Amino acid sequence: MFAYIVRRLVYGVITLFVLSALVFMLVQFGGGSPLDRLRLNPRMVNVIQKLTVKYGLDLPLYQQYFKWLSGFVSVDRFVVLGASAWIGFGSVVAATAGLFFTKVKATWFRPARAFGVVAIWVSFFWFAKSRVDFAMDWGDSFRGDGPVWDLVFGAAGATFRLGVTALSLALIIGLPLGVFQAVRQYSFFDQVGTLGSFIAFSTPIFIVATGLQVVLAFYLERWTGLKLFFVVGMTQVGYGDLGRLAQMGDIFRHLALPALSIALISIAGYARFQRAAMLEVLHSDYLRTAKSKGLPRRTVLVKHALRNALLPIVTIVTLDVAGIIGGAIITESIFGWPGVGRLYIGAINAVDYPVIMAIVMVIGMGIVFMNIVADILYGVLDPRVRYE
Amino acid sequence: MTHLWRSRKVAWSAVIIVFALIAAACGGTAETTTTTTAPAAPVTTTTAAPTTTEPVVTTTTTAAPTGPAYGGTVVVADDQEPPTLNAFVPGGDNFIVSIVGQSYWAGVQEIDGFTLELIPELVTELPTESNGGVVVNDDGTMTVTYTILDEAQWSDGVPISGDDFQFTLDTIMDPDNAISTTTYEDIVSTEVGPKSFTYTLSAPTVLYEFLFGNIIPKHDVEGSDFLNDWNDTMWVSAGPFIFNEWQKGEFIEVVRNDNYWKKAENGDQLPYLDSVVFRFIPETDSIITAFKAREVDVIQPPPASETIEELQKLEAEGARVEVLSGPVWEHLNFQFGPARLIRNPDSSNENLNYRKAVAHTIDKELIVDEILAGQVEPLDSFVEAFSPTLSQGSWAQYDYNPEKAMELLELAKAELGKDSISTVFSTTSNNDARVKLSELFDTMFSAVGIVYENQLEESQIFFGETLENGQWDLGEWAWVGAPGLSGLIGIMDIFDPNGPPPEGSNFYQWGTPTSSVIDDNTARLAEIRTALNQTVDPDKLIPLLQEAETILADQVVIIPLYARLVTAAVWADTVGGFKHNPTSAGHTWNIEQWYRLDV
Repeated sequence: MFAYIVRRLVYGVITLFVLSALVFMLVQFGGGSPLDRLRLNPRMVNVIQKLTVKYGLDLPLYQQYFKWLSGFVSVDRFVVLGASAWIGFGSVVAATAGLFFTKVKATWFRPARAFGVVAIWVSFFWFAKSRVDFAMDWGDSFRGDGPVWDLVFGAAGATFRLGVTALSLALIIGLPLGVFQAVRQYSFFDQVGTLGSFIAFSTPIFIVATGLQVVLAFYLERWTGLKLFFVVGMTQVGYGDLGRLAQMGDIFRHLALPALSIALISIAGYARFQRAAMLEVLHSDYLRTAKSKGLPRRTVLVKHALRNALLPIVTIVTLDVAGIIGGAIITESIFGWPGVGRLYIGAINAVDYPVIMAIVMVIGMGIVFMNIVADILYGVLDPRVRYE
Repeated sequence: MTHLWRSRKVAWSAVIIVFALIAAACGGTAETTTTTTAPAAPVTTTTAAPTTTEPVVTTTTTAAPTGPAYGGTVVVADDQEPPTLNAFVPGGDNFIVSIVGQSYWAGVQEIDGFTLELIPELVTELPTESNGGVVVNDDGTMTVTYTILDEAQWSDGVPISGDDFQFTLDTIMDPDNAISTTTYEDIVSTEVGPKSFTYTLSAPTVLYEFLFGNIIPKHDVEGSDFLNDWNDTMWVSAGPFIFNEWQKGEFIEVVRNDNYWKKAENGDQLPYLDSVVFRFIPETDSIITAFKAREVDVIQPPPASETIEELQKLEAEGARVEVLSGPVWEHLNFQFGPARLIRNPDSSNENLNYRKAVAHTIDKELIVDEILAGQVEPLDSFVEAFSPTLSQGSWAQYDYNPEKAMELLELAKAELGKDSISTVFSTTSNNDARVKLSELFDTMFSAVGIVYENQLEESQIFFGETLENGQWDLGEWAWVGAPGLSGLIGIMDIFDPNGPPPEGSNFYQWGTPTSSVIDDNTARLAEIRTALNQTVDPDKLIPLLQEAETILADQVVIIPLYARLVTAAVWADTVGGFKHNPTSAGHTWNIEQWYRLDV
């Protein structure tokens, strides 16, 4: 499996290299320059000249690209604050190695080990966040926003919060919905669910977002007098002064609508997919065998049917991350959510190449990574899958 | 038992969640919980805060007779977020930077939102020849003296002095900083006093009017990394508020400057508010919805007629909508350089009769009706967007007259030896108003027999290579006007025959070395422009400006169309003191005068 992962990583790096060159060219040939907004001010001529040199816009295109690329892969700063981060790192590496070398024959062990490794590393990154000052040299925003690394990762937290919530909502609602529809095939509930899924699929996300905003954040308050949801923002001003419970409430009231906007399409997708997968399993021979053995209906459905029907959804969910980020780009603008999507739109409007490139590459890396994760997870969850 | 436990657990969870939701919903917003009274504030009567569902319908004219109350927060929404707080670094020229900056910056002058004229801010009076603040010296130089207000001080209590002016000048002239040095570079000497600053320019020019619009505190900034240290935070304030917090992508909060030096006309210590929050919402529709939901108090949305109508419906609930003619003026123009032939090999722009025919072809009234719902009058001169009182309305001679246009076209055809005349119109395709304009032009030009074609482009392309290379035939875009004679003189650069792009800004290439039109008029305009930059005497400047206006209109170099609307809306039943300013000062120009009616 190790060789497989390395091979996939090499392919991923090549893909990202081609992607970066392609996007760089597209942005260049898309027309315009980041300094165009200054050109209609007769007094900015000398400023334009200075900035052209400062940003290297006077260099040939290939030189601009390689200048950007060399910065993108260079570390700007790496400072470990205190020994605890090193100790933590050592512990995590040891724990990971321990888990990999432990041999347990129980079927639950393989997935448990995989999730354990992920959990350990996520915890470590959370722990190291405030103990390690790390940045890549992604240059400065041409719009004057400052270092691109700080900009992108400053916004990434907000997008992560939104994306994880949306994904969770989609899983929590979409999967049970699909299962229930399959179990009650052709029932009224199934028909309504199918219709709802098609509507959710075919409605553009900006209409969903605006609709939720107007109905639940504006009219609901008018009708009931209760302000349950906010139209815009991630938190209200003075959030830090609120109590813990009020802070949680504030987060929920800001997060609910944008997360639901993004999740709706995924809910529909997961429900449809899960319904199909479940139906396929329900009509399989081994399930018929299980039923004929007299097993309780619940055991048949949960232990034999659902467990197998859940396998394909892993691939769908991991690949859906790209869709969720795509949805976030629009949703964040509508809800004034300070994430990467909103940053991306602003950068495109300002022809801010370094920011555009950084965001495209981060999303690209995320998709490549999630593809690899999907493949690995599939093997982990299904013992029949072997990597060569 | 297990089932019971599980169901109880679920039930308790549900109860807690519902309770949390209700508590959160009923918790109110932080904006209403942060109102405090300034220590120096006079005792005022307070009114109950209106709920978001039952707004109190009053207007700002019904402010409490005891005067504005102190305290409270106003939330201002904008679709842009500042890239930096520092106006002197790349990105600092964005309008939103100065909209926020109005709360903590101060300079020599500001633009009055009522009269749209320059008024003094940090100085006792604006220097002029008549008050002795400006002296044209015998050696051809010009000396300007500012007398700084005695009470003017930074938020840390340090007096604002001539040293700060000198430091500001040094910062602007530092070659490491990418700041426009125009006119500052002509300063040949300075003299610094505790409460005065004097500088000498190499030649007389009224462009001094706009210098030192934002002063940097030497004691706070000196020794810092100027390009990097002041992007996310701000130096000590000279304005009514102090920068407090910037949640990137969300909001900037400024809080009261207790050491603010300015008092209201009634003697009240300013500002009235405890804080102002600038919330950044990229989507216009979301701004409107947030305004309707009273999550924000003041907005400045794009002036689309549907938006204006939608906002005006809220006036019954306590909102006030101000729709004004702004400084941004749209104009039709001709390209005179050789690259126009790439766009239209049959271009006839060099022919005066053709240009006059075009001027008579344009139905400006219809354009204003269609694009601005008739909310403003069309422009008869670009001068109206700068100093309306100086405008002669020189383009009024070109009324909408298709018959006259056809006569002129026949003359043009005879002069050019052509059977037909064609034009290719270019502007930005991602601007709805301009797209509409192109459709209207199609009808108007076709009606008089001009073969017309639209070739619209993305703004990045149009404002990039198209403009720089002069690669259009008939074009349309906007310039920004500015009050004062300096603004009007500054805009003459775009007609300067000695200033072709990229160094200059005569994008039309009228009279430039490669132009198809080089004659006595272009030569005279070059002379006028030179003369305008050599004197500060209004008695000499105004006739020169009027002569330039006449030449430009008679030669139909451009055709001014209309000034864009600027819109602002405020919940006037809760926020008082607001007055929209359509100039570059923006709607926060008098932010120190704002107050809440519900504290």
